[in-house]
Amino acid sequence: MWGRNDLALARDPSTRFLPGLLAVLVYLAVLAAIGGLTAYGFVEDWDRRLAGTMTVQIPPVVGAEAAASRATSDERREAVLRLLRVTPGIADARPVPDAEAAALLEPWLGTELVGALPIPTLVDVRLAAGQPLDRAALANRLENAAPGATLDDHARWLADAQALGRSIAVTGLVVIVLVSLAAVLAVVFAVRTGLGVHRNEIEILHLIGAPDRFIAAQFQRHTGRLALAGAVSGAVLAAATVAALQWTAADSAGVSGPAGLASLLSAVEFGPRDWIALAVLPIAATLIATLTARASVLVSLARLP
Amino acid sequence: MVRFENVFMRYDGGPVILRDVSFELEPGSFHFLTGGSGAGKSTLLRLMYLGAKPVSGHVNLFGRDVARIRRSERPAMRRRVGVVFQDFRLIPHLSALDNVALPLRIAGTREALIREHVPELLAWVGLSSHLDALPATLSGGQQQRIAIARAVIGRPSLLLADEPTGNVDDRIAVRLLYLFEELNKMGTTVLIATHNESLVKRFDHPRLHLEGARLTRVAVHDAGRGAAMSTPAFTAPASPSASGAAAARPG
Repeated sequence: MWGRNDLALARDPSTRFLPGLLAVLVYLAVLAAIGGLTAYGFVEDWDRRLAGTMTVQIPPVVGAEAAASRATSDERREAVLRLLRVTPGIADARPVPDAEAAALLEPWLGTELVGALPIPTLVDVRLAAGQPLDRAALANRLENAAPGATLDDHARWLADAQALGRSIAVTGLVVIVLVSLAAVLAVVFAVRTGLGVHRNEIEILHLIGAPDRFIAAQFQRHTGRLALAGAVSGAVLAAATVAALQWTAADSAGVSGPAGLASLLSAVEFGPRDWIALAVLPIAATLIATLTARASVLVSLARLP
Repeated sequence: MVRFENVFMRYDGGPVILRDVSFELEPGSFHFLTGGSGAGKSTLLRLMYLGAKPVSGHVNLFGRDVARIRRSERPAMRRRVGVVFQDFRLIPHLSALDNVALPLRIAGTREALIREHVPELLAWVGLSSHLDALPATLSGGQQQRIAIARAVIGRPSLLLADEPTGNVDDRIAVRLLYLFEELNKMGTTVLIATHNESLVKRFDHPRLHLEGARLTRVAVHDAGRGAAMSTPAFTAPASPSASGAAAARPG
């Protein structure tokens, strides 16, 4: 009995658009979910990596002989390191090797310019967990030890980046909610049309004693089947899209193209959360479509005299 | 089983179709409903299968006032009533077999039982070679027999048939009437609307006659004296067994 349909809904043109539409909606939902999850992953990652760290930046000595400037730079760096290591609340201070600092600037300035220009000395600072640090006092003492040295706790940058990441994640969620709403509306429209098309058969079924739920079950089954087909194809397409993006990223990373984009895209790794989104969204879409069809039939039929 | 009390019926703004109609169908009884075309036979049946509500008066079905039956209770009530509609009301895209199987499927009968009983009944009404035929490919008489099979397959408590022999020849009409009598013997209350006088003559069951929106009840043995049936043909003696024995059964 579950395999059959007494209303011949499969021949009904009013529901033919459903699989295609649901495929598009699920495609969008899966991409939105993966985008949102990735953005949220970045936020978490930055949080984990940058919370409890600071960077001290010592400006280069300009206007002196190269050798003299290097000696002064080394002196300043040692002074700063000594100061940091005795400051309560700091667990560790590590100078960033010049090559590493230069590498950070290379994408913006180019190799030649980085080699020619004096670059600031950086010191990575790891804070001790649970110990308060007097940032204002430290900043003063740093100024004394090495004039122009600044203390950057990443807070401003991190807050901006996290706000961006969070808004991308929220946007993903909003897209999913809107897409679900669109799916519900599409199913309601299809079911109402179907009820109109099959008005006579439904009247006959009612007259020979079919309860509303018997009729609802027919629409439910039919809609569920169409929705599943559409949702699965949408999810497969979305997975293919993500795979293509990753492949493009991996391909361009070593050759050409902006390194930033490549590193961003290669960060879109398929983690367990993405797999869950990929599996859950089509099932959820099918479930939403099926339940909407049922509710919509029951509500419409209950309005009949 | 069925009781009408002072029932008035008219459709929106139309003429009065039933005026102060009162009668009762005893459980297990077998009645004909006669009257000219447009006399209100179909409307009277419609009130019994919950297809309409009376303008005033009470229609009582299985001990319940139909005006008070909630929408959610209707399906269960309707499953106890088998109806042969005048226009058959078959589902066009379902085969003869699936049309007849519908009441069983609605009732949740096992598919194995359906596969067993439905072909048997279709064979009885002479359609064994048309199990998979769609209604549109069949003649009016064949469609009518599908409609009859669908009405009786669930062994309803009450069978209402609206001109069930209108599209078949006399030989098949008699056979179909036997089918209704068989069902009646098993306890089903039967009401058959017809204007086939020869059929009414042949089977001696009491009849209800509609004329001028009023209903008269004519028992078989007073057929000769009945106001509505003054034709000598109705003086045939009644056999008390048919309606009498069946009437004793509970519906």
